[in-house]
Amino acid sequence: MKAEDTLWHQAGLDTCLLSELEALTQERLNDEVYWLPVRHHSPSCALMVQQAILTQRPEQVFIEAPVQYQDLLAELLDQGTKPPIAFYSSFSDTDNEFALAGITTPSEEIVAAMGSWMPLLEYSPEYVAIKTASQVGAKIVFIDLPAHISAFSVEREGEQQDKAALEQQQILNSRFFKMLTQAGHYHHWHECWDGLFESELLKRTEIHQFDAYRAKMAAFSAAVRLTTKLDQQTLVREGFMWQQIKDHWLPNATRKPMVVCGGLHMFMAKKKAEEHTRNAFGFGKEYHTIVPFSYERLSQHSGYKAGNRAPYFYQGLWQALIGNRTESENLYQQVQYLIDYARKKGEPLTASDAIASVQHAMMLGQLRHRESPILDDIVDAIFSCCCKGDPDREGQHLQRVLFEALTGNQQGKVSVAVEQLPLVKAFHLELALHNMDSKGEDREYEQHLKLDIRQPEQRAIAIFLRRLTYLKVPFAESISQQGNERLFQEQWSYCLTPGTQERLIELSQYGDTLEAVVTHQLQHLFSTSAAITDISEGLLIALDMALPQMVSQAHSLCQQALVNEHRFASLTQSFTNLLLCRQRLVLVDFSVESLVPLLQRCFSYANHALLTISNAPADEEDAIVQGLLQMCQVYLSDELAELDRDNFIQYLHQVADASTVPFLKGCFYGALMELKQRSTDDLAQEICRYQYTAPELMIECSLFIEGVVSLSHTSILLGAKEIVASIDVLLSQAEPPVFEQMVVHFRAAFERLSQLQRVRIADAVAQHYGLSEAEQLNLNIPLAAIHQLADLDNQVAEIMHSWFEFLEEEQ
Amino acid sequence: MAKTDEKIRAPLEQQYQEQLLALKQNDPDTPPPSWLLSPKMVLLFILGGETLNYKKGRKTQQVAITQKFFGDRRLVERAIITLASERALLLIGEPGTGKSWLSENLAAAICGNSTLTIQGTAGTTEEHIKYTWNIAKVIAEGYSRDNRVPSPTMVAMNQGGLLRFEEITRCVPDVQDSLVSILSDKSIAIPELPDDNMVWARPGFNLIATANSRDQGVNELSAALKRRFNYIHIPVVSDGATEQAIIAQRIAELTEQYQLTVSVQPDVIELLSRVFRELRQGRTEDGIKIKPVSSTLSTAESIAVLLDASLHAQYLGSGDVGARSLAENMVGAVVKEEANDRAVLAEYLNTIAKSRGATDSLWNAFYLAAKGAL
Repeated sequence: MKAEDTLWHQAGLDTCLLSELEALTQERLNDEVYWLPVRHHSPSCALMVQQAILTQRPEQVFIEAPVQYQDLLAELLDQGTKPPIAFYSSFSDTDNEFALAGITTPSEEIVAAMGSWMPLLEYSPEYVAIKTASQVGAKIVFIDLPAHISAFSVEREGEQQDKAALEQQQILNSRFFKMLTQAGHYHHWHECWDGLFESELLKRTEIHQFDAYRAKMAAFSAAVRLTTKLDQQTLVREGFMWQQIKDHWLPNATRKPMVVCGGLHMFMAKKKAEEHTRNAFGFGKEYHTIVPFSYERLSQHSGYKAGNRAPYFYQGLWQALIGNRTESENLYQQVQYLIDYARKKGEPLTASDAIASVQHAMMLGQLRHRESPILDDIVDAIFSCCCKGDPDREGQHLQRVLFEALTGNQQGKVSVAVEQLPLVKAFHLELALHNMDSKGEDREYEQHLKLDIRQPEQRAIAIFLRRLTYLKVPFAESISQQGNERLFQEQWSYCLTPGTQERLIELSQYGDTLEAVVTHQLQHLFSTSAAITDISEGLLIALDMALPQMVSQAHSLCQQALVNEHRFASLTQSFTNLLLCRQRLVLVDFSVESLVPLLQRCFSYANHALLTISNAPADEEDAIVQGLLQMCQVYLSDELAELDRDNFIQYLHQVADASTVPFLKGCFYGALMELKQRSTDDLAQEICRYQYTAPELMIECSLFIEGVVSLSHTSILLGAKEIVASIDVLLSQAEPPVFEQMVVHFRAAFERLSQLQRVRIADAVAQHYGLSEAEQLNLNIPLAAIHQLADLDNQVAEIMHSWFEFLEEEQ
Repeated sequence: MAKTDEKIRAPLEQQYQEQLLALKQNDPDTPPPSWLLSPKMVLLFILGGETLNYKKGRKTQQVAITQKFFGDRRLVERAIITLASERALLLIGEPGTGKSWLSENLAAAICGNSTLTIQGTAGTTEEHIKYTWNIAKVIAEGYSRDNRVPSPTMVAMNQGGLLRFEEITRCVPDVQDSLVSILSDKSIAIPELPDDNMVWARPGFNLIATANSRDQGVNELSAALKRRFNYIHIPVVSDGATEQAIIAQRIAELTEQYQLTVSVQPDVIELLSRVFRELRQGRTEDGIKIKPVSSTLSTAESIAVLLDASLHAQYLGSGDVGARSLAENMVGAVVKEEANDRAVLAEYLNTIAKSRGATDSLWNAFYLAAKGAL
């Protein structure tokens, strides 16, 4: 191979490097093993691999895939398994052998865990190698280090990266690639690859062109390798891979074994594997299986860092390669598909646009020195011919639909022989237990459930669904309730979707059951939260999901967090959360005594925080109103006699008198009215004081009344008559502009009331103005109606009795 | 006194004659019909970056192909390919983004004639596009081919050259639509001459139009006409380094053209480019949000400001193009369309320029001069 004919010359590499590269490349191309350097998910590499195996028929094929997947070969080759699929492995370092608990995890109680995928498409070189090797009867051996071992056992700088993403980064950072990019005017790695390699084999006519392709791949990979800095993780992996090759080499093989691996690894140093990698195999708990995958997940834009930018497009290219289609046929088909797809999605495109795009793409490819047009040329051509304006504005919709079309929506299938992950299995078992499974029928439509959580079996279903919802598993959705049924009734809709299994697979690294996973997530939340609001909310969630064992951990964290919390809104919210937690614990017969001192302290802290909110800014008002409502509710209830209620009243008086913010002053006043510390007469007199004041003070009074109404829903109705009279006098003194401003606040105030309360106020206003007259009605109640009323009374009494039973048990 | 054959600005095919000849000599590919250069050589002419050997008589000299257009290479590639295809080319973008400049360079490189131009205005008529008549001769002799005054379109069709149509959206729609048949049938009908009633375009004929995206709503192209164009959007230069390179190159050319002796320092160009870019984007390079101005503040405008500053420095100033002369000439470019832009500029000066001026004497001089000018 002449150096001047190669990519090295194109990039302009210096001559001293060229001779080194030539020697290195030749040595590996003629090595004791037959190296097949590939790029993941490359159709042309897949074709090269297929042809090499079919023509040379090796006895052994080594493939760059993690070794733990070796035992899944049969399932992979099963007829029922169809790409896109992925090898999946979940690992949990249960005994903290890698000593990462508290280092890479937020606390020492949380062990390191990870999940890893190795996607395989119809045109992935590794998948094609497996299929073809199986066809010729070659022994298949996986040689790569499991992802969790290389991730956990090798120190590296910076963020942990997926293996494929790491390899890509090493290419991009190489001096050779940068020089090649500049010389070839490539805008990104994919364009460089496609331009140099991907479309080349469409023009093949001779079998030796596969050898030329392989040599070109080797030349590229060698140049990258010599001009980049390799990551320690890569070197450790390569040591392991070579060790695997040596250990599994068939001694009596008559033909060279083949090695299908990433291009960079073709030039791996032939050294022994590091000891720690071999020893790490016994650690922790590891599961692996084959899972369905999708083109959408694979697409770069879904976050898979070394993904495939256009999976469906490359599938088309693969089909053209194996179908022996010409480059023109492939181009026509691709463009026609894209134009057709865009038209169906609303773009006004015609056949003439398709013709123009094909012509444009071909000429662009030639101008850009390509063997045949690549994806970038096709997309550029379509935008030139079809987008009538700025691509980022007028072309936004076209961009979106092209992306959809190029990605595709293919989803893989996995044979029934493949064993499910424990979490997935546990999920399905629980579905069957609750009679919620589809019983083998292949249908996906929404089902509905009404649950009475007083019934143990139905409560169990509710807990199951709440856990799934908390974990964001797309399966069930709670439908909100109205009316009296809210307390013990829940309504859910559920439907099994592909996303359900995907999400469960992602979560499987955290546990084998839903309970284990939820517990892990909550522990993570507790470890990373410093605010008592978050911790108390987390505890409430835990209890809603029937995890009372989290109480002690949350309790001690709340104790610590409470010391640092000074904000009234947070304290009242936390208090409410803890109160609800207490109620939940009663329902499950769990001891609640430990929560009482915490509740007392929280209440006391909230009382003290009252003194800081007398002049709080407007953006905190809503939170303060909610907090005060909660405190008043607790005050009026019979629960928790230990709470310092007198202190609450004392501080409330203090802030009501001290506050200079009219709305807040009204809130405190309203709270005092609700707690019967001040009367409606007091309020009426307070309002009357503003009658003959300056306009701005009158407006302040309206804000004050708004604040009162926010808090005193009951007491204001009881004294509606007096309050309406005093407001009437106030308004009668106001000039029209002032009146208009005051009305805004009154409106806001009354909108906080319920419909019934507004009707009562309206009645009071109507009576004040003499607009409604009381009518004397003679009601003649029939006997049947009397009996019915009595029955209803009895039913209400029974309900109340059952509620009181809870209270008695608690005491 | 200027000589009678001197021009303010010669056509590009004359200005860059040597480069075009060098490219022709070194062209390895066959150009499309009527093209002087192959698409690859046209691309090289526009983007520059190489030095070619040019044999002139017995001597061989080195000719540097300079960069004419600073922007995305792919845009230029698509433009060139469009002109080699059946469709016409419409360059669209904000004012001052180089659409006309690119159009002129493409025409110069492809057909060697960038002067076949129609300027679109509200007063443009179909005659300007197709042909008109020498009325006096028609009255005297009747209609004949010799009495016909061909439009630039007709000349381009006859020569197989490129027609340039500037600001196409400023023409009324009925006039625009006269292009439909020209672009579809590649011919113009001349009903006045029954025996010679068609002018057919020679291979190589095509059209480059430009349109201002701000005014696109004025007279948007009809659907029928849109379909006959490939649109290429020329964005405003967002990269600081590229913008400075454009300004530096262009101001050097203009300095030579106007025979100025002043020199413009790179830090002055950098300051000008930065101010324009930040006011345009509504964000400083440090990420601080500021109010943007309503004016475009394109690269072309910054070149114009710098030229004004240079002329001022040469003839009325001290001979140095500094921050002061820059600031005095900049205000008029920034505060153009809306009165509110004055307040925006003032805020920028008081918040950004002043704080930079605390540590940089050039920014300080700029701040003080601009405040004075405002």
